[in-house]
Amino acid sequence: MASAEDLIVHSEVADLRQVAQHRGWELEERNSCCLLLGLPARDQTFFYLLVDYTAYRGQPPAWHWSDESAQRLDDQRYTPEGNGFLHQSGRICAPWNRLAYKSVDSGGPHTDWTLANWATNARTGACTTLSAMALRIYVELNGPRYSGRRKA
Amino acid sequence: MSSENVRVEIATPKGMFVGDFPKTAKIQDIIRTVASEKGLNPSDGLELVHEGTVLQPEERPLVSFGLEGTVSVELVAQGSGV
Repeated sequence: MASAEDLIVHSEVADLRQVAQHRGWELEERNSCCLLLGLPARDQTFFYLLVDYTAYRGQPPAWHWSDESAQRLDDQRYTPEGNGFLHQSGRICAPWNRLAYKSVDSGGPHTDWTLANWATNARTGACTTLSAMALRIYVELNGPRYSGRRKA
Repeated sequence: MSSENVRVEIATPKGMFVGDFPKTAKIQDIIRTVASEKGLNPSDGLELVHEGTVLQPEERPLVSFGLEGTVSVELVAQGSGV
């Protein structure tokens, strides 16, 4: 039987699918806890993210920049350049990204955040659903902090 | 749809919201309406974004941003990335 947490996550994926369909984003559910999301940037470049929501909501999801087949993760060639959320480390720098924690990913910039407290971290704000996180990334890719695809 | 209204297609943290608002509707009122419909807290730092630009100040009406007809915007949780 599905747990209450499973039902919440299922609902969040459904919300994200609805937004993606409406906006023409690409979304492929690869298994019960992983999806591939394609988002357009303001220069028409498409960026892909492999979203691993294993153990979500106890932990935040892991948002990996990816190629379109999800074979190459966290590769500079498939990572946007920018600042703020689009951190120079190549990781999305936010408490709602598991990869921002150095305890999880050696490339993560933060040692001062606690993984289990991600949802109550002041810097998370209301970015507490998969759709909210995806929208934040989409807005960053279409806003002034984005400056193109990284060079290999 | 009346030409006095704007159809606003809003991608939100809880799926899509589509509604017709008067051109004179303030951004802050649209945020409150959508937040209420979607069970979000409007004081949680939500902002409306159109083509990468935050619609601020929120006291301004839709028409003052040149938004007419049907427009796509995002209701985004601010948070911060550092």
